[in-house]
Amino acid sequence: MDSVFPVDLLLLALVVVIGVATIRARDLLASTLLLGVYSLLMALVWTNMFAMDVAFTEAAVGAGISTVLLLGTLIVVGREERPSRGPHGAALLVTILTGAALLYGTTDMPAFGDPNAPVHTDAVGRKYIAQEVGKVHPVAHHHDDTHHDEAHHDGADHSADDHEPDTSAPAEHHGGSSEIHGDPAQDAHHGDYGTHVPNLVTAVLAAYRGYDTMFETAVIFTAGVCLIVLLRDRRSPPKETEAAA
Amino acid sequence: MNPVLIASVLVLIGLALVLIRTLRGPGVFDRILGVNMIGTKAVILLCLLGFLEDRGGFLDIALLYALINFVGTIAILKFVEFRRLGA
Repeated sequence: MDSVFPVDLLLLALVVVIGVATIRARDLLASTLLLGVYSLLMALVWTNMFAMDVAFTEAAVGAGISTVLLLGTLIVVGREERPSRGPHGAALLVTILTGAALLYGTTDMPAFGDPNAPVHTDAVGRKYIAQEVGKVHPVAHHHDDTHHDEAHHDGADHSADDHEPDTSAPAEHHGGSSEIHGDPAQDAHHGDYGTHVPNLVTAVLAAYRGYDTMFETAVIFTAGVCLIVLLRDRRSPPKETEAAA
Repeated sequence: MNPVLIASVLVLIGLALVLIRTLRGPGVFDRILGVNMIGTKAVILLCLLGFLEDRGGFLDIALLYALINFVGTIAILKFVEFRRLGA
């Protein structure tokens, strides 16, 4: 952890420089390019925090798709920003106040990687880590516990591919318990990842993928509806941005 | 001092130098080249970080970065050349 610190410090300093430069640049193409670099470096920072999924998403969406979408916007709005009349006083004040409030909020957060953080000690959090929220116990045997977790985890993984994960997950759990039990491939890795997922977020995502996917779909649907409402009926719809997306 | 850490810091310093060119660069192509090079350096840095923390999984993300960097550069160049992104 310590050896990563100087790298993180330099990375974040570069990110700040890029952020300021992005705001100040008059050339919108330069701003777009700098935003791509910003996302790339932020993804590196996420990687340093072992937040692999966040880093993946940041790199793919922030540096990849966003850049292309912003370029599609530049086709419509042109490359040069109009000269502004200096900073807007009220907006600056609101921004500074919001930033101060957020920074004040972070003082209540537990330290990064703190094992005594509320997420780890809270009753619900422990249940999430053990992956037994809403879990039906078909067999009451004591020594079967580890295999339960595996069976549940495995069933949830399958359910991510299903079309109706919410209904199929419990059924698979009931049926899969016995067949996983004798599977040598599953028994082979009984390390950190064999019996349960050590990371809380990953545990929730892996074990409750069905809900996760359901709400993600709702969010994406809402975003799509908003985009359609915003973009309809303006001259002729720009074909370029559609192709780029 | 960890040699991998020294290498990482050196790559970061190089990244800062390229960033200066990207920020100042009078022409569009200076900026595009700068951004492309920053992406390459990010890939290298990611690999180095993987060795720094003994995490082999970093290499997968490095591959993803390399691909995204390529696609992004193509898109930007196409925009500069043709003023549109479609066929």
